[in-house]
Amino acid sequence: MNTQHNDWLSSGFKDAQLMQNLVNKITPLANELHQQLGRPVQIMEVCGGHTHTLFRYGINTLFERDIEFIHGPGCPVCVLPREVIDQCIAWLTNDTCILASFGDAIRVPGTTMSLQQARAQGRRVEVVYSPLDALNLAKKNPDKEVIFLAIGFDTTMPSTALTVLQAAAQNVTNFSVYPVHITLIPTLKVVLGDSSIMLDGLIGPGHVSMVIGTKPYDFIANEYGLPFVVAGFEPLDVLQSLYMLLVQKKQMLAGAGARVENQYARAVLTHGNANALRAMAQVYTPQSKSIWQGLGANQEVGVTLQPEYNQFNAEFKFGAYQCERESTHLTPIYCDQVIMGKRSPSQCPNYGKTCTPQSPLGALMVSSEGACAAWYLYNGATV
Amino acid sequence: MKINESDSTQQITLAHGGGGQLTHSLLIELIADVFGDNVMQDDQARLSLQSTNLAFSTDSFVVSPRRFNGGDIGCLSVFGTVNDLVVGGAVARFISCAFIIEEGFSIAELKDICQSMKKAAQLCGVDIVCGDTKVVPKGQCEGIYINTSGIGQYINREPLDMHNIAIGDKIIVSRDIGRHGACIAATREEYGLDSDLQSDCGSLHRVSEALLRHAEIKYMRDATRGGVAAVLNELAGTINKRFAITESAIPTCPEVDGICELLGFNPLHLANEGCLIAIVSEQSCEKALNAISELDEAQNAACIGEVCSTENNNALVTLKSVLGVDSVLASPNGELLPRIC
Repeated sequence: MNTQHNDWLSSGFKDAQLMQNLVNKITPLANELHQQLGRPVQIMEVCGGHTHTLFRYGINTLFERDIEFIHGPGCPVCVLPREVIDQCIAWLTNDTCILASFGDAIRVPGTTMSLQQARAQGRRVEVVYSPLDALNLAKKNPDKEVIFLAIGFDTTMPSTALTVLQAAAQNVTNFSVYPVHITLIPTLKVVLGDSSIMLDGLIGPGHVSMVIGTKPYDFIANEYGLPFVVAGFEPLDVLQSLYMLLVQKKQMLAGAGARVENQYARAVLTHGNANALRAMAQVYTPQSKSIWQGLGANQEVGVTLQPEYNQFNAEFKFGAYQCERESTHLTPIYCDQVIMGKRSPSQCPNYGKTCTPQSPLGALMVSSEGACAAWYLYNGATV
Repeated sequence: MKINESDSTQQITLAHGGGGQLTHSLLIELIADVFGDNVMQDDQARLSLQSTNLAFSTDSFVVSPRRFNGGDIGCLSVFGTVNDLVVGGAVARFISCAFIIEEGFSIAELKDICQSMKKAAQLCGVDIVCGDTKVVPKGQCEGIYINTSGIGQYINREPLDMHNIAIGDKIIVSRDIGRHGACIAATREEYGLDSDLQSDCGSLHRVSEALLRHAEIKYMRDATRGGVAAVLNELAGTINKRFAITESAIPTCPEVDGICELLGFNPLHLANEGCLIAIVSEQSCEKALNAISELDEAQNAACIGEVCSTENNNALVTLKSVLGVDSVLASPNGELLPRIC
């Protein structure tokens, strides 16, 4: 990657005048809809990246009387169950193990400790930016077993799949992945199937959609009657998608049907990325065993590797280790309700008191894309 | 064995730290050769200063990678301590250096580092007057760690006092921010970035001198680890004032913006090694900016905000976004980790 040509990327979509123009269009429209509905408009931003943009630029406070943002489940670090961290730490007790992980996952608390704390105790935990870096780590350390903690939604699934295919092609025997990916569409079905969450529209995830396209979201408009706009992550993207959602909502109140729209057309195609989808189909198969934070057990949201890639599946290669479980939970954690949008971070009794970014009780307080960490970062401990 | 730094096979061994002949030859043939005989003659440096007010500072350098675009651990270790002295209003005079070296370290690289230190010291007008070397077994440190301590003099000037900071004062950064942190992140091979970004690693003695001469400077800090955000939070907490920063006024270069976008970092959280924050009186803000505008190391200096009272807002530092919304600007929390996607 060359960082030199990113000027337009980082400045063009942050143009203050264009942003203000959109704010001026959204403000009266949101107010009008508020009057018509008799309550604020409820918008869910599915992805943690959007949560971050909302807070970072203060978009959430600009319309706070007329629009309520409900933070969705799309933060891959936030949905990580403690058991996943416990499993990694169990494998790390073997001195030949190197665990490679994306950066923010190393701070997620396990039952007894996080990966960052395990590293401080002498376990080998390496932060990588891509699964290919983990594969290279394996090649450089032939006497070690490198396990890549493969987390993330459909966004990161293709790179893990391609890495497994590359490891197979190159016959790298000391590399495996711990597949704890989670797929977005089943996750959205769980959220939308919960009747206690009332929504007027959703801001759809940009990165996931680059992989899967916009077609898979049709059911949201058709079955749930909800406007859905796939959006980019710059403040202008978020404002424009918000405007598109409100326009749709207004049309719906006049009798029109809901539809899926694509604000992020510069990156997202209707049918997604064919190469990525092919690699995913080749390597993964759905799996329902996982207990996802907020989503409960036995939901068809996870994946594992196809049996022919078992030699690259850490769970198969090293066996699932029986982790010691504490009989009682440390503190009642309200993360599940926050992930499902039923409770805002500030409504959690632990927020800012026993749960802070320095000492997180739950993963939502870890990632900068987690709703709680974002609240904390831009509002502080007291809200 | 003679020290021969041009022989690339020559490495530091534990024997170089043993205190015997090899230690002696390392000191004489390499260290004293670069820094001058005085460094090694006595167990102590003998200093002569005509001042009652002295500044004293120490800092350790464990940076990885040791070499980066725009500098290396050697010059960094000199600039770092010099900058800590000059931002308090002192003139940096003397520096000590202590090396902790890993067994197996290349003697040629050690010589390069010493030469880089010497060059940096000459640039800031300080003398390296004493030092120490220790060798530790392989694996007990990563290559080389350097500690420097420095002594500075307040010449016809009182040390700056943060309690002189008043509501209405302006906050200046002496150049575009985040370069060192972004450069180190880009240099780390595991991120696979290809960047020409240069660290801002450099001395602040000229910037500090020009500011103190031409403007009413209340206080200065160099914005190293934790970046501008950490320094402002710490300072605001100590003096019980609020700093209100305007995002659009913060100078950054496109490369730093690009790296932050890719890795999910905030330039305000990234380390600087040649950028200071100055709090100046409102009326001399423009004078301050003019005073340093001629200096290469302060090309993009800017006023980024002002000192306010803590009434109506209990945050220490607030950041006004381009949409005009104030949010809390927190200190970075611990290790900067790239986000997943």
